[in-house]
Amino acid sequence: MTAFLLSFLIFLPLLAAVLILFLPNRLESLSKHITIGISLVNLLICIFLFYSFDKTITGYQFLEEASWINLDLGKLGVININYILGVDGISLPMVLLGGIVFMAAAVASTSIAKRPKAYFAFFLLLTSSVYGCFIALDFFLFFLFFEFMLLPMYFLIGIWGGERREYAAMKFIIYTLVGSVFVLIVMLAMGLSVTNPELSATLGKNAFTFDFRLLSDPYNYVSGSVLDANSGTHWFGWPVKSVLFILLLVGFGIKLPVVPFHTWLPDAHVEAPTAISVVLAGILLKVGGYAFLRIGMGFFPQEALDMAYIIAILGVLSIIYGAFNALAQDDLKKLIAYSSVSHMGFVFLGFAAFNEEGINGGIYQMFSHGILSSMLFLIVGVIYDRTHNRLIQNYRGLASKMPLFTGVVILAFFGSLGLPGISGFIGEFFSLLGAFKTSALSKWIPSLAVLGIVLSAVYLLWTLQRMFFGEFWVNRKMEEKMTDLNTKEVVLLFSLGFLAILFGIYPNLLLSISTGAVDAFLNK
Amino acid sequence: MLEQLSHILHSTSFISAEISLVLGIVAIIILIAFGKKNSTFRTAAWALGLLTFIAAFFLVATTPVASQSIFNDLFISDKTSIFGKELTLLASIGIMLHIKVMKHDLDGEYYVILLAIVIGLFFLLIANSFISVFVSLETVSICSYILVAMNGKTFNLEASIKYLIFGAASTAIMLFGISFLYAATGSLVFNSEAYLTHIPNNANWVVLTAFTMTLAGPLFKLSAAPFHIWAPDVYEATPTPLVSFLAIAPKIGAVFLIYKLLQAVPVDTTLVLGLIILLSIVIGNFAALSQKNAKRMMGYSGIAQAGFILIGLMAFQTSGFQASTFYLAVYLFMSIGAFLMLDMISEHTHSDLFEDMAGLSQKFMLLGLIGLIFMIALVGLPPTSGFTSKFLVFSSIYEQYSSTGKSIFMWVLAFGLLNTAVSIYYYLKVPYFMFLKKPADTLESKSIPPLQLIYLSILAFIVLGLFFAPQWVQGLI
Repeated sequence: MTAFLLSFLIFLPLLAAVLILFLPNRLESLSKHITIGISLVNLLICIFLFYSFDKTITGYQFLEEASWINLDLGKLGVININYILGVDGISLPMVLLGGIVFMAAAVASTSIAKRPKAYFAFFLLLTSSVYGCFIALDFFLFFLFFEFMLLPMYFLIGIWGGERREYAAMKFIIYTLVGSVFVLIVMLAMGLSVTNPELSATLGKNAFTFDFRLLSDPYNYVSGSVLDANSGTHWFGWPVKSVLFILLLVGFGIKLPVVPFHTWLPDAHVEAPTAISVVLAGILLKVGGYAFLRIGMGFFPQEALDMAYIIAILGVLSIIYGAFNALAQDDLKKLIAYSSVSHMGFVFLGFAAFNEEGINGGIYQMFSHGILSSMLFLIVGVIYDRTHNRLIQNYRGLASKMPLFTGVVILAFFGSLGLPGISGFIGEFFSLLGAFKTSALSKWIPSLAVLGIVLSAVYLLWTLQRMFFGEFWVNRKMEEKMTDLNTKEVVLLFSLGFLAILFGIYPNLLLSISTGAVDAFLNK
Repeated sequence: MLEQLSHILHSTSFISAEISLVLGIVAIIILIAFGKKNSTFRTAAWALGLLTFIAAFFLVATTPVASQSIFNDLFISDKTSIFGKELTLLASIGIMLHIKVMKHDLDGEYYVILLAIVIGLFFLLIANSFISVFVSLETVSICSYILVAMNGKTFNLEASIKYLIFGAASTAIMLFGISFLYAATGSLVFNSEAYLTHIPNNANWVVLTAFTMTLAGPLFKLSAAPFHIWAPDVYEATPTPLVSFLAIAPKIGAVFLIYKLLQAVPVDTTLVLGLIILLSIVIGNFAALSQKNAKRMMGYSGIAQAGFILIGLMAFQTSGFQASTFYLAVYLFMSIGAFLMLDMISEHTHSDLFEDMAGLSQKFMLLGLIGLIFMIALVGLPPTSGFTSKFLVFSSIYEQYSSTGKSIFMWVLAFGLLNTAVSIYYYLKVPYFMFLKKPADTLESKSIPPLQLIYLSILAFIVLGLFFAPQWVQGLI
């Protein structure tokens, strides 16, 4: 029963995408239903995985392995690439989040009118590759998904986006591709330095591998290879491992994104259609955080410890800089986009602490931010759908016209600024706790991050006050358009809101799963 | 005397494929001379050409793989050369099919020239002495000049004059280099005793200089820097199927020749090759960025691709060469596919400009998607074999770097990877205009003949398939 569950997560959307492409034009409307159906099935699979996950085991579960590519390099050896899927306590929260976010985005996509067939095909391709990133346990396979994500995203922004969509799509793809290139260098260096000891013994020559489980163990380094501790190779005057770690830091930092590699994000967000913004903020950015934890810190723990300061400062820089930028925005969507940058900073801050609280906090922050930012972008979508205008100063006193909506907005905003009882608080609290507790960082770094929380309270509450309170007034005679939420929006926002509260008052749902894996991760 | 004759007779059994190509040429010439000038006879000429190629393919495939020296060491037939010939024939057959599915009604003379180029390439692949290298390379060159000029349009003449002048210059430089090597060793045969004993007695820089000059010939064929100037003009002005042929077939011969030359000079050539690679990649990439014409863009990007192909040769070892040949094999399908796609597009838009492709995907969804596959393959993104091939050449050079620690390898690696990111900008222009732009009103609503789509899909399937199962090609090398 559970044998091919993870493969289903990848291949169901893929097959559905192909199916949609070959739909005749008169059945175009079916594509929407297929997408929602597939997203629902995937969500159910994720929930099933979540419930049948054995918390007493620390390793990977639901493993699937198949031999895929064996390239003979002559006397050098063999390159062994396998199709390996599996989840542990670190990736499972992300998989679950994927299920939630894609379900929400699929429902939010129903209003797409322009070339729906192509849209939903790309959407499903994106789904497939994002799931693949979280469950692939072979570096090559991971990279395949990591890279493939860019294409559907490029088209989704570039065709269905706003005014400057082409510019934003191009910026997005070039930025993130440069990041991928850095990751590729690391993949080459690691893959050609690590062997599968058993297989090498049977073949009588080096069997290079990309298996995560083997890569994370320094015992498998080929002696004399660049990664070997005794080789002492230096690149550009730095030890090789440090260079590789920095490459990963930049590569995944672009994806997360951390300041100063974040400039593609506001552009992409502002231009992307609502559902795609939800996917982008809700789950795509988490690939960066997850991969940095799994690959960056998992394979180079010593370097991560040595550079804890750099990681933490990048995190704090993102928190503060993102918050200040958000303060300065007059476009609601840009404000939310910068608040994303700010909140994702806590992920790096927590990771940099390199202790149980910090890493758990980082994971929790990713999960919670996924839910809350999905809500926030849906909220922007609600306003944009009605008026096609996102400027904050055009609205005042919406509360009197749209009470339901205002309730949801208050929930999402307070969740984002870290009100206890909503999930955002848990993530930020644990990240900060870890950062304060650790001896690797001096106390002023988390103290600055606390300032970021204050700033986020400022811009969110200020926005709330400007748009929702006071006398009702809307610019350009759009009063009659300001109707309260319709059924679709109610279902989406309320279910996400429910999740935000659920994970806010009962964090153990997630922590019980991630703690074991983080423990194992720290005590390797 | 009798011994000589029997040696020649024995040698001819190894060049049966070349002989069949000559017979094919004779047959087509007879057809042209005595036939009428109408499309029936043109089709007959095409069919004869294709048959010749297919026959040659079977003859090549049945050639014994054991290494065998023939015609008094002028040529040597071995496994590598057979693989090269197979690649060349695959390219030729691919182009012949392209000509047919696109209904290009070419005169019979074109097929004669194509066959002649393939003969030249065959002899180049088995050449074992500088003389045979030179003669076969010149066969390829001169026929290529004719091929480009044959259209007779004034615009074409400009391109062919450029082609001719640069070709002649690179030939001269190559000849100069060969004469140095001859003077240094007193022999023209790569593996002769005289050559092998005398070449190490020379100062390294002498041999290196001679080698670098000798490279001029194959680099011109590869369209690698600094002998690349002809490429964009020729690509732009020549009919698409012929460009498609010139973009791939001579490259195969050139790569195998450079590999031979590398084996023939016992000096460290990494720096020279590294500089050529860096130049090619940077010039090709950055010139391609600003192109408005798709075929010109392919010309410039071909220069960059040539640089990538050379990377495997720079990591001079078996695995590096294997990586390069794998790259070539994949590039063959990508290049034929990309040109076929451009040809199909220009059939509808009557131009090669990007901006005229606007919105094509809304009418031809499948064409747009397959175009996307080819373009991301040319960039080198997964899940296409373009990624696998780049992955292999970079692996080989990384391996070299970690074993020798020379910084030039690192520079090539870093530049190559970063240029991959640059190249996405111009390769994506094709899907960008097809998907993201609004269609012009002037677009004719012809439908695409299914045969073209089927052929294009097969090529795309191969490009994707080699990612999931690279062993298909790996086993042949």
